[in-house]
Amino acid sequence: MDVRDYLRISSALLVYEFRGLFRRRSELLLSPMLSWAIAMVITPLGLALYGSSIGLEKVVVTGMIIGGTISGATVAAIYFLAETSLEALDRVLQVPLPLWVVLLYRFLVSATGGLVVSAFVWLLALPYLGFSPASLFSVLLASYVASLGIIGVVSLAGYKVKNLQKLSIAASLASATLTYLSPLYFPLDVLPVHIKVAVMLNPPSLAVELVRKAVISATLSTSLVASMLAVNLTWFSAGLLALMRRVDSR
Amino acid sequence: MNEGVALKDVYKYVLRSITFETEGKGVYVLLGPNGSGKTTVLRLTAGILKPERGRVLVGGRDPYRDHEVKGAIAYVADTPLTDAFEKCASYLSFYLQTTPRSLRGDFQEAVSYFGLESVLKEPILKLSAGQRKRLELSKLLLRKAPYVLIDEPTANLDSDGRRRTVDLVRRLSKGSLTLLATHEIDLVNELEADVVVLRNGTVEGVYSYERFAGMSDKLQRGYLVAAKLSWKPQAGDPRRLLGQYGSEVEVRKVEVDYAALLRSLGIDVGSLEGGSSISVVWVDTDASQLPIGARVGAVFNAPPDVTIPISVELVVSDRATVLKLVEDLMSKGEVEDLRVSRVV
Repeated sequence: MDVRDYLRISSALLVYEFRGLFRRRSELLLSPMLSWAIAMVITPLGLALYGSSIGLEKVVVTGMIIGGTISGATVAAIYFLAETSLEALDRVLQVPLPLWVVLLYRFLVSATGGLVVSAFVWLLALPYLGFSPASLFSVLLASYVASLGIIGVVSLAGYKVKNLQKLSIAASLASATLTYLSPLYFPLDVLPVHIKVAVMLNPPSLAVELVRKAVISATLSTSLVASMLAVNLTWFSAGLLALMRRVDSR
Repeated sequence: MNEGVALKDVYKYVLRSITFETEGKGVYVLLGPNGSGKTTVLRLTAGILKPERGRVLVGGRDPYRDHEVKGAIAYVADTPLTDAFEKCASYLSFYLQTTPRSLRGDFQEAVSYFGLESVLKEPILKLSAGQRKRLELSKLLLRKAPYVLIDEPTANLDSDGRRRTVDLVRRLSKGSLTLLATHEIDLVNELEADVVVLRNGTVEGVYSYERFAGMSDKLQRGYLVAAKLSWKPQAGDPRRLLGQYGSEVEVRKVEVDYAALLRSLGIDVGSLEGGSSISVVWVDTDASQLPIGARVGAVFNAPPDVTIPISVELVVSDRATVLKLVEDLMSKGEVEDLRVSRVV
């Protein structure tokens, strides 16, 4: 096999993974997008008319963007679970690429599911919050990196999904856990130090902080970006290694 | 690269200390009853599974760790390894695109050899068991690999499909090593293949074809009867008829071809006219999961003018019982395809 073989086989595998996400399992993406579209129809408008003097709609819409980021990341993890646990692995294991590359592609493509959902919610919020490059960049980066982190946690946990009913229960539980163990409704700094450290380990926590700061103050905190990358890439790497061991021992 | 396949003291699932070695070219048959570990050997050799203990080498290299040797292996599973909603063309294209350039075959040749032109745009769930097998087998012409692994090459195929498959294996084995798993003794004779007999996860014996031909009668444990029938509903549940034979007949498969049944009732799944369509028919064959009254067996209460397309696979202990069984089957329905072969 030469370089051209590697490039062609890699691109075929990537296309296959993207088709899985956007065509075969598109309902996984469409469901939260539809939910957020409904949420954004009347609530922000009502809040803008009712509490505009205190900028109530800005607080709530920011919360919605953060919620979209978390639900996008959850969707990414669900897609990953569904594709990796439902006996679909034998096929990609025939692809002549190293095992870690095959699994890495699946991680990277799954995480784009989170990016799509959160970008969609951010677009819906534009009329209320206006455009800022910092908010766009932070939403895209935070959703992708948090998705990688959550997928890492899921792989590390080694949860074996045997049927779709179990998958939907796991998804509800994961969504609630990720949401309420993150600083969705308050800034991280208000927590006592030991709780703050624990909450920071939750993959979406620092992503939530990053998005909140960027959307509200239109600035990008490099220290937050660095911390978020460190936490989530650690989860991601641990998850990838754990999955490789699981595939080895299955 | 053609050094052959070697398994050295391999353990995995049912396999216990499997050891055998092949030459670099020719046909080898892994012969053994269900559950003897044939498929596991093929999956290990294809680099899909990692052995718990021992070593698997293909051309002197580990197929699980060495992805280059994986690219030189064409693995044909018992059924397509994908979800049933994928379209046939997409399934084959992916395999072709992930094949190294030097080994790439011709898509059209593969499709036409196995008569798949008309189903290319269909999802795999609409295919019959035989068509699924043809789809999987067509991978052999997409990746012209020096190592060919085929699981149950003739299962579910009609006589034409079987002939084409045997011809193709003969042709491929001239330039490659072909390792196939089956429980049919007659396939060994057709291919004049060397044989590795597996039983209960261990190697019972390794035989050249000449040696095997002289002793195949001793290895034979019974006959496999595979039939496709248009079953008369008034004959009742076929399982009941087969149950009367007791231990002389082991029922491996009794399946209703639901797509064909719906077509015979005037419902063409997925292509209904008049603005309505059924895109998916989900049949859970585990009756315990279904509410009372919705059991699969209920279809045998169909009107008398409707026949039910079924396929059966039975292992019969002796020749006299085979004849009686075939007679019984013919009295209960119209036999469309019948194959009797000797099995270990």
